[in-house]
Amino acid sequence: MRRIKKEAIEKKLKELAKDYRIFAPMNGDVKETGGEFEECFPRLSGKCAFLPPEEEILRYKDGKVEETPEDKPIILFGIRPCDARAISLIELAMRDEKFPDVYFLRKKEKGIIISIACKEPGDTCFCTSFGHGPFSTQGSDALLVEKDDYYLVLGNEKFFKLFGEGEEAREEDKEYFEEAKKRAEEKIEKIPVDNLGEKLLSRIEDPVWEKISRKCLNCGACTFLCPTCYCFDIQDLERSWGVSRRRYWDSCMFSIYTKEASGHNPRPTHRERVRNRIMHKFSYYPYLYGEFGCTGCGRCVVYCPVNFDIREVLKILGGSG
Amino acid sequence: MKNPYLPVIVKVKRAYFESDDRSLKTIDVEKPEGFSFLPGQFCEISIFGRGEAPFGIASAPSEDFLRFTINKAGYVTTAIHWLEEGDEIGIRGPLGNYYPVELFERKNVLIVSGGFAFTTLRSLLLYLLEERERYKNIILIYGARRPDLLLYREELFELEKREDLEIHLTVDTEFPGWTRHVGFVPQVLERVNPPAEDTYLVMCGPPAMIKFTLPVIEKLGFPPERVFTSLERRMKCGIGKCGRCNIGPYYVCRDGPVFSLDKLRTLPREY
Amino acid sequence: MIERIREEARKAFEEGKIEILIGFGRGTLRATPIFIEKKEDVDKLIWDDTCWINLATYLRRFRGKKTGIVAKGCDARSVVALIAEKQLKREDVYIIGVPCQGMKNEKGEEFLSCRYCEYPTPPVYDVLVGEKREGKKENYPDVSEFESMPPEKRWEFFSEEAKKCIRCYACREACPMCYCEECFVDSLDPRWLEPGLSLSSLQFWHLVRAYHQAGRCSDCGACERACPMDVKILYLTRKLNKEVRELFGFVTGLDPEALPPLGTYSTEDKEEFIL
Ligand SMILES: Cc1cc2nc3c(=O)[nH]c(=O)nc-3n(C[C@H](O)[C@H](O)[C@H](O)COP(=O)(O)OP(=O)(O)OC[C@H]3O[C@@H](n4cnc5c(N)ncnc54)[C@H](O)[C@@H]3O)c2cc1C
Ligand code: SF4
Ligand code: SF4
Ligand code: SF4
Ligand code: SF4
Ligand code: FES
Repeated sequence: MRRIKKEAIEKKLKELAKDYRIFAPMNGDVKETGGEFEECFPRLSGKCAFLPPEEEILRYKDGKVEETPEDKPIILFGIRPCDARAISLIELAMRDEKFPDVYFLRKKEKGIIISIACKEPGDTCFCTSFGHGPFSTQGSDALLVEKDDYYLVLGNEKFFKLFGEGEEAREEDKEYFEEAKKRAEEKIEKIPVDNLGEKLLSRIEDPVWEKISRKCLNCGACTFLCPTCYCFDIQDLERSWGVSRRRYWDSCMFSIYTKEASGHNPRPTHRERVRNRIMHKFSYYPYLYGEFGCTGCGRCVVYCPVNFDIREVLKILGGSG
Repeated sequence: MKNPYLPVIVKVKRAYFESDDRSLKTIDVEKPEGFSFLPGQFCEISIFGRGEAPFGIASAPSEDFLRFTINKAGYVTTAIHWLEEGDEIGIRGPLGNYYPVELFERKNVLIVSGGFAFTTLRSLLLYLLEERERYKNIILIYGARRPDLLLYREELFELEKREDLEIHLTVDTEFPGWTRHVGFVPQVLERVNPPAEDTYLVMCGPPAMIKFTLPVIEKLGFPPERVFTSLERRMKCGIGKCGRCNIGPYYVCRDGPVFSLDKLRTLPREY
Repeated sequence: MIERIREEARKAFEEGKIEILIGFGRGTLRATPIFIEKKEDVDKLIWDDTCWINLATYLRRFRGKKTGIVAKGCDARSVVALIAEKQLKREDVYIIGVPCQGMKNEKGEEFLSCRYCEYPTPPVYDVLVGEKREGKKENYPDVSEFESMPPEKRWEFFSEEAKKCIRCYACREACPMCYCEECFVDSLDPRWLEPGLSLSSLQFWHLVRAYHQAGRCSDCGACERACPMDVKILYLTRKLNKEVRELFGFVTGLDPEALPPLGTYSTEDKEEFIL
């Protein structure tokens, strides 16, 4: 563990804005900034940096197809550890030997993710349910813990090379770290998720889905704000110079997401759509990649207009509620 | 890293309507260098400015062009219907899996199809006939509402003459000059009564056909692990990234479109 | 109040008037919609100042079934508007009207739509629970304030709000009147607007959404509250409702027989805008 002056890091971040695109929480959402950031739990998560709401994936110009050129590398700064984890969860779906998602991966490979430990978790956080927590380092190139006018840093080479090494942390820093970690973790509700994937699979036709899903408006707010939801739509835009093919955030909550040209819809109602969202995160994800597709950030709980609370749903389906 | 989103530009070599009502159009396009595939795979076709849509490959792997037959259904398919010889389109592929032709060796193969879902089955049929001696009996049962809606019918009439192949073509109701079967595919299947023993069954057709054929298949004694079908779902990326085509943990675009019946039975009925 | 609602609900089940009841129950953060199918469950119903979802949104899902709804003034007016548009049959809906005390956000502040609400008491109901409440008669003071801004300022305000939108469509889905089979934003042919978050697309989305609501919206405010991005959108629908009232003397959701003026044609229509 190292300790680096906050000032030094803040100054460095502004300098780096020359060669990097800096994304950080600002006015409540993660957005591109000139190196400024704000200490908060942002509403729009860190995925905005690596999977933006709208992104060009190719151009068609003068009868030729061109790959969209790469932009400057990204520094995602000041998000909570759960958002850093979320990006590594998206990466599981994007990394694919046969069909790699080039646009996500090239950003991810050159990008740097720096999170700030979550000393004051919220009432809707349940990240510890998934074996990680407010001080998790998964997906982060560095985890910073605020202490007075210092950051305590657990980081990798990539981080120290850019931000400097500071000094070796003291014994009391380490104690501080452990204590803050323990205190934060204790505050968080843990939801049992043992064998959840299999349990869900065995209940796929259970009438309980109808009950659970009834109040859902299928609005998509939960998936747009979810840091791990990555689904997208692709559309062509005609421009004076040719065609720009782009992708846009999309959501399995929308009925047109699966609606076919014939009018047939394999997921016709809220029941199938809610089931897909829950199954994808808690059954298909573990089946495919060995990890749950949820970080327990609680955004879908907070921003759902009808108070659809995924924690309650997991308790019901996992047999503990 | 190879970018799987980039289509290759190819020229349309031939474009013509299949059916009298002009709802079905076939396009033969240049086959890009090094393009190799197996029957059952599909491509995403780009009409730049309009978008992309997935279509099964109807040509045989050995043919020197790629064939697609397109039903006019919406935004992209309408634009495909405007294509003429010499126009350029984009294609990405081959995508998806294929009919498990390895399993078919030294077995009987029964192909059951209806309407324009026959596309990839033309590819399969020609593929099997290329090395005919590898397989035992090959039977095709194929039907449509009217004779003009039977895809590639002239070619099929030629193939009917072959001794080493059994073809049953049918239309829903009597038509002047039509001398083959009359009736729905499941009825003809029942009439033909093919042996299930040692046989693999491949089935593609509209939902109604599938629905009424399934009980017949069961009655004939085909075990679900020897019945294969190709699924359709709304698609965008075609490579398992955009999320929309999953059935359970499988993406129809990447892990399908060909599934065996016994695998489907373990999955939510979202198709 | 809660006891009276439960009692009326129980009675409605007992008398066979309803097969299902849409009401509010206790959620984890605030009141949440619940669907009650047997009278034993009516004790799950609650009523407080977080019942701000417009429950009329769910009614179309239960068409053909005798459905009860616990409705505050604005919910009931949406029910009436849906009946007028032939989306529901009056005899299929059983309205347990609740004169509304006004709804509040997490900070305990009353919502704008409630602050100026003219119809806290449902104008149409099958049974009314509690004393009627008088509405305010201020005729959209917030809209007047907006109107008094110079055009550049109004445009700036409109643009700044639209910019915050991420096009999740929570506003649309929370709205009982947004029931189109295919929303204009989803249509490819014709493509009315481009996908994505360009300012012009966002502005178009917000304007046309509001236009489609003119004289159909009950000013419930559920759309704005559903928005995860805190985009202000009510001022647009309220402005249009004010116009409709001034031009046609029409108020949404008072009479199940009355069609919204923009959905009808009359030779008496004003033609001042036609040159
Ligand atoms: C593996 C596969 C093979 C197919 N093979 C053929 C074929 O050989 N011949 C043929 O005529 N049709 C085939 N289809 C169906 C064809 O893809 C759709 O009819 C077509 O996408 C409709 O596009 P559209 O833009 O005209 O319709 P719109 O309704 O305007 O659809 C807009 C977009 O939605 C998507 N979409 C809508 N319906 C479907 C659908 N059924 N399947 C996939 N995506 C859809 C497409 O991305 C399309 O661009 C196949 C589908 C799949 C999945
Ligand atoms: S808690 Fe909700 S928003 Fe957060 S990662 Fe899980 S599903 Fe997504
Ligand atoms: S939950 Fe739905 S929107 Fe989110 S990643 Fe899964 S399929 Fe996509
Ligand atoms: S935010 Fe809530 S209402 Fe909207 S789709 Fe998600 S669960 Fe359903
Ligand atoms: S709810 Fe808000 S962010 Fe979502 S589409 Fe409506 S205005 Fe935009
Ligand atoms: S089409 Fe995108 S995941 Fe299958």
